[in-house]
Formats: sequence, C-alpha cells, structure tokens
Amino acid sequence: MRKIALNVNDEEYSVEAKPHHSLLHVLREQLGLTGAKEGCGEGHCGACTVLLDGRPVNSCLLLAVEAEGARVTTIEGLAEGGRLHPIQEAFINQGAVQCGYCTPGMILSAKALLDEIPDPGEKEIREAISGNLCRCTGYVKIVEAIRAAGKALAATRGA
Amino acid sequence: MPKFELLEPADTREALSLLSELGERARLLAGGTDLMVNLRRGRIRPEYVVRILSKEGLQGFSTGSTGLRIGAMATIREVAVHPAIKERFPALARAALSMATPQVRNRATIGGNLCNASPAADTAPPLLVHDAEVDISGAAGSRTMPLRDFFQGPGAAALQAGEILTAIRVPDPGTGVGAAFIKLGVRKAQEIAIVSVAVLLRRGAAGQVDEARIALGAVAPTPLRVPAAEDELRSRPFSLELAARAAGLAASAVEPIDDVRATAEYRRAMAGVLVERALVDAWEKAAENCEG
Amino acid sequence: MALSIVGKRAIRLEAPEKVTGSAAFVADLKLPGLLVGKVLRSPHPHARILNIDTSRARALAGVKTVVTFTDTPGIKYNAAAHPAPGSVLLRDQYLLADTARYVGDPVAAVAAVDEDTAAEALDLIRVDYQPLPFVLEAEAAMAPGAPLLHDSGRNIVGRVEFTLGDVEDGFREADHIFEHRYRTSKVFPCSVEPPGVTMARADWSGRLTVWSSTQMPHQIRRIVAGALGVPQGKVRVIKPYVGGGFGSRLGAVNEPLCALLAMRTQKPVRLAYSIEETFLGTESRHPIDLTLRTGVKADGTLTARRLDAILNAGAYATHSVSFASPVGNWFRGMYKCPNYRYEGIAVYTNTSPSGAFRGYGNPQVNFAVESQMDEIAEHLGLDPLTLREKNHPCMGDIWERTKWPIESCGLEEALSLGAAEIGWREKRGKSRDGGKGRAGGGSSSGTGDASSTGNAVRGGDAFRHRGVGMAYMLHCSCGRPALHELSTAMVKMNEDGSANLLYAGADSGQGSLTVMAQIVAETVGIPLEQVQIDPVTDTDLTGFEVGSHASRQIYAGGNAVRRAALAARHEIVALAADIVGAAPGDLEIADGVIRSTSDEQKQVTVAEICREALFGSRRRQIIGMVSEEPEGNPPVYAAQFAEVEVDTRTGAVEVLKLVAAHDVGVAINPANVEGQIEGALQQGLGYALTEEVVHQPATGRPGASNLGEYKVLTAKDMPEIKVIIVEAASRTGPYGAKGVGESGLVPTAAAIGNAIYDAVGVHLDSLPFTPSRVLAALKGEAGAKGAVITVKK
Ligand SMILES: Cc1cc2nc3c(=O)[nH]c(=O)nc-3n(C[C@H](O)[C@H](O)[C@H](O)COP(=O)(O)OP(=O)(O)OC[C@H]3O[C@@H](n4cnc5c(N)ncnc54)[C@H](O)[C@@H]3O)c2cc1C
Ligand code: FES
Ligand code: FES
Repeated sequence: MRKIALNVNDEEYSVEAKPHHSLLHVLREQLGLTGAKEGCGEGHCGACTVLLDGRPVNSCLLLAVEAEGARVTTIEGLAEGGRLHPIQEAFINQGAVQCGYCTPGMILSAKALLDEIPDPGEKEIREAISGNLCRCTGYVKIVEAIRAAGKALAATRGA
Repeated sequence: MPKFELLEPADTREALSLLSELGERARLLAGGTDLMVNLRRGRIRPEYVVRILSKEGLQGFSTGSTGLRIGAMATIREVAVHPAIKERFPALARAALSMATPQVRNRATIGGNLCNASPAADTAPPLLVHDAEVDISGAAGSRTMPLRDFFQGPGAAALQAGEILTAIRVPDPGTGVGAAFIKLGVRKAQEIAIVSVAVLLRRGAAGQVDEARIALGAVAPTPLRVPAAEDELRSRPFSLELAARAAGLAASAVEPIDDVRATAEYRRAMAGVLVERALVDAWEKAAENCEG
Repeated sequence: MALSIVGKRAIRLEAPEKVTGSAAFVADLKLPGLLVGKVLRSPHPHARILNIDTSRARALAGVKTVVTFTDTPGIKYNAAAHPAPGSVLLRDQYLLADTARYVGDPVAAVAAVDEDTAAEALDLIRVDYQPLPFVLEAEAAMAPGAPLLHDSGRNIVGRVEFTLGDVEDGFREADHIFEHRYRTSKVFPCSVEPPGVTMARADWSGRLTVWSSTQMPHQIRRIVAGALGVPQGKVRVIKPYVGGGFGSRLGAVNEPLCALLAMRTQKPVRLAYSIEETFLGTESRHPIDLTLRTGVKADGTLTARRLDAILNAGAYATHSVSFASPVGNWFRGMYKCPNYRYEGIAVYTNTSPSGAFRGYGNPQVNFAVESQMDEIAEHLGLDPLTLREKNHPCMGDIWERTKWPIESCGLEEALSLGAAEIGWREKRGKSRDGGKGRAGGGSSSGTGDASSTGNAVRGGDAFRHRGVGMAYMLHCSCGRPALHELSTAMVKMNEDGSANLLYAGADSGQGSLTVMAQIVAETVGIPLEQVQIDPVTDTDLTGFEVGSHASRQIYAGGNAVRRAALAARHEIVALAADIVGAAPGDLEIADGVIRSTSDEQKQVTVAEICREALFGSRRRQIIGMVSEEPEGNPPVYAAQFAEVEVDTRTGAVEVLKLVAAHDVGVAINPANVEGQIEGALQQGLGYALTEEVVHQPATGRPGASNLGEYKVLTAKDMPEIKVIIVEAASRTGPYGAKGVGESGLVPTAAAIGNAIYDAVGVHLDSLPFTPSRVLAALKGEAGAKGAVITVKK
C-alpha cells in the first residue's frame, strides 16, 4: 500500500492504494467515480479516457501513482453548478448517445480537442476521437455533436 | 494486473544504481503503454517496476549546430508536434503522428518505442534513415551507439541489464534533402504497421541522387536499412525506373514472416511497392528543399 | 388525428444520465462484501481433463471458493435457450467443462475478496490435460474419422432443408446456371461494454438475484434456473444500463457461472470477462461456407435457386441447432423463384461457440446471394438494379420466409433514391470501359495523412481505381412464425395524469425506451415528459418479455406497449364521457386534455380523470395491460450503395461513401432509426474489410484476442455516410413501424464487394476483403476465388 494524493475534478483525495493499481481502478473502486469505464484495459477502446492536465490519457494504462501532482478530470467533473457542459448538451441534442458506454471517454476527448482547437474541422474531430471506439453510432452523430459543441462554445466566448 | 513492487528513485543517477543492482528483476517504466499491456497479459512478470521521479535530462529537445537531441522520455505527441521536427525531420513527425491514438501518444515515449524493440516500431525507420545515434547510461558510465546497432532481435535492444536509454541524437540532414514515411495498415488509426518504410534522399545539382537511405519496419526481426537498394540509387540520375529497381532490391533484402496480420509473401511485395512510392515522394520533397 | 409525438426526433430520455457518467452499468454496481470472480480457461483446443488440483488455490488467504466440473450441478444446458414453438434445444454444455473442447473453454472458477487474489488463485490451480486431436474447420469436422466433440457419434449439430417446386426442373429451364462458393468469417459483436459482466447474490431466504448486462432478462432467468437446477421463481434478473448488444448478450454469457459462485459463497460476486475472454469464449457470428447455384433465363428471370450451407457452430450447440433455419429463410425469402432447395448443416468444431450477431445469418447469406446477383447481371448485360427490381418479392406476393402476404414494400423508392445519391448512372460501369479504370482523385493521395493506406502515391494514381456497387436486402421485424414473440406491457395512469410504463424492455443502447415512451404518449394523448419508464428492467416487476432480438423490440414490444396504452386510453375516455356528458366516440385526447369534437365547452384533463378514477366514485386505478404477440412479421427492405477506391498495387480498399436507403415502415423516431443504421454500417464495413478471427491451425488459438488485432473501425476509417429513410407503413406494426435494429449491416459487404468489382473487375468470394486477398484476386491467383462454374447453354 502507498498513500496517493490525487486531485480529481478540483478535489483533493488521499487514498491508500496498491502501487500496481491503475488510475482507472482507483477512480472506480476506491473513489466511487465510475464514469470512466473499462472496455479493454489495453489502450484501444478509450472508454477509460480521463484528462491529465487537460490532455486525454487511458486511465487503464496509467498507474494511479503517476497521476500524483497532476489535475485529473473525469466525466463527473464536467457539469458545473448543476448545469451540463455544452459538449454534454450537444451529445444529447444531436443523438450522439446510444448505449452510452463510450460516451464519457468520447466527451473528454472532445473537450481536450475543443480546449485546444475551438472550431475544429471534421478531420481534426475524427483524429481527436480515433482512440475512442464506438460500436453503436458509426460516429456520425458524435462528429456532428462535437462540431455543434464547438460552435456553441465559440458563441458563448464571443458573447 | 499482476503485482509488483514500485520503486521510485529521485533521479536518473539513483535509478541507475537501483537498476544495476536488481538486473533482470526490474523494469523501467517510461510511458507504460507497452509495459502495462505486457504486465496485464502476463507476458512479463518483473518483481520491481522502476519509476523515475525527476525526469530531468531524459525529457525535452535541444537543437545544436550538429543536430537535434531528443530526450528518451519525450512523448510521441511532443515528437509529432515539435516545430523543429516537423520542419527538419518531417518523416519522424509523420511516423509519430501515425502511431496508436491521441491518448497513447500523450503517454508513450520515443525511448520506450525504441527500447521495446518491436520490428514494427514506428519511429525506428525514420530515425534509421536519419542515421540517429542513441545515448545509453549505465551504472558504469555512458556510451553512444548508432541506432542501427541498437536493434538486435524482436523485443531485444542492445541494452545491458540496468542500462537506460537517455537520448536520441539526430544529425541535421542539411539542404537538398527529402524524407518520406509510409505505413501500410488496414485501419487509419490504432494500426501496427504491416509494413512501414522511411526514405531519405539528397538531390544533387545535376539531378542525381547524392545520398540515399532506406529503412523498413515489420519485415524482418528488427527494423532495418537495406544497403543494396541504397547503393543502387547513389550517384545515379533519379528516374521512376531507378526507383523501381531499388525497390526490387529492397524487397529481396527483407526477411518477413507470416503472422495474423499478413503473410510473408504479401509483406515482401509491399516492401517493394512502399519503397518505390516513398522514393518518389522523398525525391519530390528533396526538389522542394533545393529550391527553398 | 395527426400524430404529434410519433415521427418526432425525440431526445433520448436517459441521455443526460449517460453524458454525466451517472448511468450505472453492471460493473458500476457495488454491494457490501462484493467478491470478484475469475475463470480459468483451457489452453488446449481439445483435451481430456485428467485432474484438477485446486488445493493451493483454496488455501490462499482471501479465496472464498474454487469450483470445477465436479462442483457444478452436473446439468447440461444450452446458453442460447430461446424457445421456438415445438423445438427442443440441444443441451450439450456444463457450466464448467468436463472435457475441454476449445481454447478458452472454462474449466474452473474462483471467487475471492479482490481481483489480485482471484488472479493469484487462478495461477495456483493445476490442471492435468491429455491433449486430444482437434478440428477447426467445419468441412473437415464432417469428414469420416474427424475427432468427435461430443458423445453423439458425429459432429453434426443440426440439419435443415427447405424446398419448393423442383430445382432440377428449374435448372433445366434456365438459360444460364451460375455456381459459386463463398466463405464468411468469424466476427464478434464487440460491444464496447464487453459481454459477460454479471453480479449475482444468493440471499439467505433462498432467492438468487442476478444483475445481468443482457438483451433478454426473462430468458436469462429461465436459463440460470435451468442450468443450476433451482426453481425459476427463486431467480430474479435485473438488467441495468447495457453497453451495446448486437447479439452478444442474446443468451447467457456467464450469468449461470456467476450465480454458481454466489450460491457457493452466499456472498455477492461480480464476474466480468476481460477483452481477451471476449475473443476466447463469447459467441461470434457463424462462419459459413455457402455453395450457391442459380438458374436464370436470358431476361433475368430466376428459374431455380439452390443453397448448400455449412455452418461452423464451434464447440457447443447454443443457437446452432436452429440457426440453419434462419439462414435458409433469408435465402428463400430474398427472391421470387418457383423452385428452390436449401440445405444447411451446422457442425461442431474445436473453436469458440458461434451464436448471434446482428443479422442472425442474413449477413452471410446476403453476401453470397448479392455477390452472385452482381455477376449474373454482368453476364446477362443487365443493370444490377433491374435484376433486383425484376425478382424481389413485393406487395401481392407471399414472403417465403413467413409464408404470409407481404404487408408493405418500399424497395423501389429505396433503389431509386439510393442510386441517385451515389450517382449510379454516371458512375457504374465506367471503370471497366476500355479496361482502363476510372482513376481515383488526386486529392486523396495528398492528404498528408501518414497512416492512411497507400497514400503519397504521387504519380501513382494510375493504380487507384474507383467503382460503385450495390446490394439489396430483405430482413424481418421479429422472429414469427418460427420463434415465440410474446411481449407484456402495463401502462399505469397516475393521479397527476402521468403514466408509468412497466415493460421489460431490453434497451441496450438502441433507444427503444424513448420510442416506447413516444408510443405511450401518442396513444394516450399526453405529453412525452409525462411518461416514465425505468431503464432498469426487473423480472420481478414486469411481465414476460422475449427481449431484444430479431429487430423485434419496436415491432413486437411496441405493439404490446401501444395496445396497453390504448387500453388505458379507453378507460380514460369512458370515464371522461360520463363526466362531461359526451359520447366516448366524440372525445379526443391531445396534450393531456380531453375534448369533445362537437362541443368545445366539453373538456376535462387527463389528470382530472385519473384523479377521479383513483379517489372519486370508482376507487380504481386506470391501468392498461396487454400480453400478446404481434400479428405478423413484415419484411424490411433496404438497398445499399458503396463507392470505393482500390489501390491495385497494395490491394487496399478505401470506401469513399456508403448510402443506405432503408424502408423501415414508419420511423417513430427518425434520429434513432438513423442511429441504428449508421452504427450498423460501421459493423458492416468492418465485416467487409477488417474484422476477422482465424483460429490458428497449429494451436487452435484465436488469431485475434484484443482490439489491436481485431480491427473495429475508428472514426478516421468511416466514409461519408448517407442514410435515406423510406416509409412504407406496415399494417401490423405500431403506427406502421417495422424492424430496423439489424438490417443496417446486412447488405453492406456485398455492396462493397460489388463496388470493388466495378472498380477493378474482380469479384471476391471470401470475407473480409483484406489487401492481400484483393491483391491475390487481382493477380488471378488460385485459391483467391472459389470454383466458378458458369454454364452457358
Ligand atoms: C493502443 C496502443 C496502440 C499502439 N500503437 C502503436 C503504433 O501504432 N506504433 C508503435 O510503434 N507502437 C504502438 N504501440 C506501442 C507503444 O505505445 C509504443 O511502443 C510506445 O512508444 C512505448 O513507449 P512507452 O514510453 O509507453 O514505453 P514503456 O511501456 O514505458 O516501456 C516499454 C519497454 O521499454 C523499456 N524502456 C522504456 N524506456 C526506456 C529507457 N529510456 N531506457 C531503457 N528502457 C526503457 C521499458 O522498461 C519497457 O520494457 C501502441 C500501444 C498501445 C497500447
Ligand atoms: S479500457 Fe482503457 S482503453 Fe480500453
Ligand atoms: S454509444 Fe455505444 S459504444 Fe458508443
């Protein structure tokens, strides 16, 4: 066991974790943050995606200890003050959610993209979510949602 | 995930003494994108995993008069977007961008890609055509060797137990040079290459090939250069026929195997096709770099 | 009255729960003292188990139970277990193997306090195997002297024959006879939530509760009870959110085994299969070897059709006994022809069991039939569209699959809209003019995308050829009359005028929940927001429901839901008529208000009526309840079109555009319909190009066991997609709906294959169309193409 200090969604946690446990494991089993999902545990599906200092990573391939000193953002940290994030809104409105298993990871990859490129083109969107497999949507409405979210965010920034 | 003990030395120096003491019982953790998967699948079972807390000297890029130094723990994403690499070593940037997924590229390191010594490691062919060298440190001291000599077999890098790859040095390619990278896979993301090819050509004033270097991945036990094909090109005026001839020589120099992704026969054929295409591509880029 | 809610792009009810990560899937559930289960699997494709030593594992601290064959109830069961009227399912499997029959066959299981301990315990189990000869291919398994998998004396699991007329007569009448042999691959549903995640708890009062990520809660209850020999009434199945189905959860995956661990420990246990286990030991689509012989007149009229299909069932029967039937049903239903003969044989092999995957036999049959139709059209000099128009069954015809009259047919419209969208007239056949090929666009080679296959071909565009192709398909709206299709629904009206729908729907992501709410709202006449359905399904709280298979959820389940809502509405109207003093036939309900059509003054709200019913003179809640099967099974039509670019030096195929024109009856929620088709296209494209598991001849191990090797397409791989919805309303479906769940991927592989033919002039007979296969076919290499006999008389 090793004491690990984590900053997740701007909250400080101190947990006793086994050093060989992944960040995904600690988030889900110890912090009760089950929004990040396990689809493969091997870096392919992206269902476990979280942001580490704003960049998407596979929390299944990261030891929990490696997240020390970094800001971790999970899907639970997106809605603020009871209001959904514009990307979440767009996913709902564009019909980009089917089973929802890929959705948390997909939205976080989208957030990292939009934080870096506010108004991305289709190619950039598809590149940004190429590490998030979806078996339900053919990605069509997901791509549309991310584009719509980009526009919505740009509008709020412009205002 | 099988259990291991995590050791967290403060810096490289401390890590080296730990690693030399523990030898085969320990594994160094870089980005973990190979290591974690291999641990999970039970392919390796080290007693210790060593995580260096301060990666000073192992990260970052520095450009000098002779070329570029890339810290072994620079991430694949950093390599893919670094302005100097995009400008001076575009084939390397391309290879980095072709790898895995955005999430993996944010963690995976270039040193890990080389030390993992997969025949299909994507950064290997472009680094090989750039005549890259690697800096290696051990408890006993440091050494530098050509990357060509670093790959010894599938999964086998020329590291003694306890040694760390600290940096990759890539000499400046100079002017009139064009480089290309092509990766053949069936998907456009998340693909381990069926065949990958990097080519570097220097274009002489009279339209002849001043220098030619060709490297291939996934077609032999290690990523490799193909000297016979390179010799065929050197000092000759470039033409599509010459490119095809050299490509044929490259194809006969490789030693591919059958696996679930492709047959040896297909790989050999594709080695030729890709080399030919990469030569044409590199030659055009060399022309642009002459003019510019 | 005009529809106000049906036909709208209603937003999914549960989407906010999903975008916030709040929706709980099985692995997100926790109970105090939860144990972790793990399974030990055979490394051998076929082996006698001589001894299993579990003593060291049992002795490990934290291990609560270790079970092997001898600890199971010793009851043979069938994991598929969907009852067809009159059929007896072959039970040939124990919960843990007595003999290992494929690499991955479960031989032991443990439950321990945590994952690390469970994994360590597996390492400590010693199994002595005596390897036996094994067989991986169906044809080889049928041969005399092949290793036998079960005691039945042969490896044949099931054999089905259908005939009409006399095929030999039909072939004699034909001007041309075409015979081809096609092979399809072993592919996996690959829902992103891997199948095989269960939590079970055996409580001290003798009840067994199973939280299952299933498509069929009520079937799971029966299978679990049967496999464990416990009374069905003692078993309760709860289905929380499910991360995609596609057939992967059509039967039991590991529910009985998890329940066994829970019973042995009297503690809650979670058993979640890893991605490797998905490929080792969960069900795939059947690989089928199809020999197809078709007789045709010079004008394209079909005179005889014959299909001989050999299905690789894998090591256990599961669906396979009956599976040969749908294969034959798809075949005979597709085209009008007075003479046909079908024979399907399912064969055991030492590979993981085949089962259900979206389309249930139709993707395989369609690939063969539609690939051959393309060749027939080419030989006869007919437009492929014309050949389909001439021969497909339509209104006024009997659908051979059900032997019932066809209810509605939107194919002609689908064909013409689809053809226009892809540019059929301008593009088809242009590649082969003069044998030169329609060269690919130069722009695609200069994308600068390093990983795209065969790019950077400056000056190499002569090697890129474009083509367009199409395929048509016919699919079902449920499994009738072959399968039992009962649904039960209850619409309960609350005193505020809102409704609860109690229905054991198995929404695994397709959005049927929302559509059911739309049906209730429309039928009762209340706003959509006033309908509540719990996404969690519980067999204790709902009536019997078959579950989500055969594209039936909206057609069959929606029928029961609509009829239950109608029953509630009748009660509302009757009471309202009394209260406002109007004839029931004179009343309309919209937006929660009941109005007389003849007297504006006479109106009352649904809420007032519901209150009156509960608390007024009646003292009875308004509840509509229905338990019934739908009346029919209307066929679903589609035409898909593909445009591809083939690199003739690498064999790489790039699909540029897919057009899917589907007749879905009435689209109750067009956004959901599009979503179903778009998602299915990704799976169809993968079936065509990248997805395949080949069991290795030397070891019997699957050639892919992770998502790096098994190539599910990413967002970067998807072409431009255009979905066209055609609405030919059915007579028997709720609001005219037909099935949509599966059909989106059925014709995709053939459409792409036919586009490859248009581009480079070769037809491929094996899936998937990998670069090396395409290249081999281009070189005309032996083995690239099965025996093709085109007899011209
Ligand atoms: C989903 C996925 C997709 C992938 N796709 C690709 C791909 O397209 N192309 C490709 O080439 N690879 C791919 N990989 C493999 C992997 O990401 C790369 O090889 C990566 O660069 C490894 O770097 P790392 O830092 O993560 O290495 P680690 O996993 O940390 O280490 C790998 C090995 O090298 C050793 N090592 C690492 N750094 C050093 C050092 N400085 N000195 C000595 N030894 C060291 C470690 O001890 C370990 O044995 C993929 C992996 C995943 C999970
Ligand atoms: S669970 Fe981490 S990438 Fe699949
Ligand atoms: S919505 Fe189901 S996997 Fe994406």
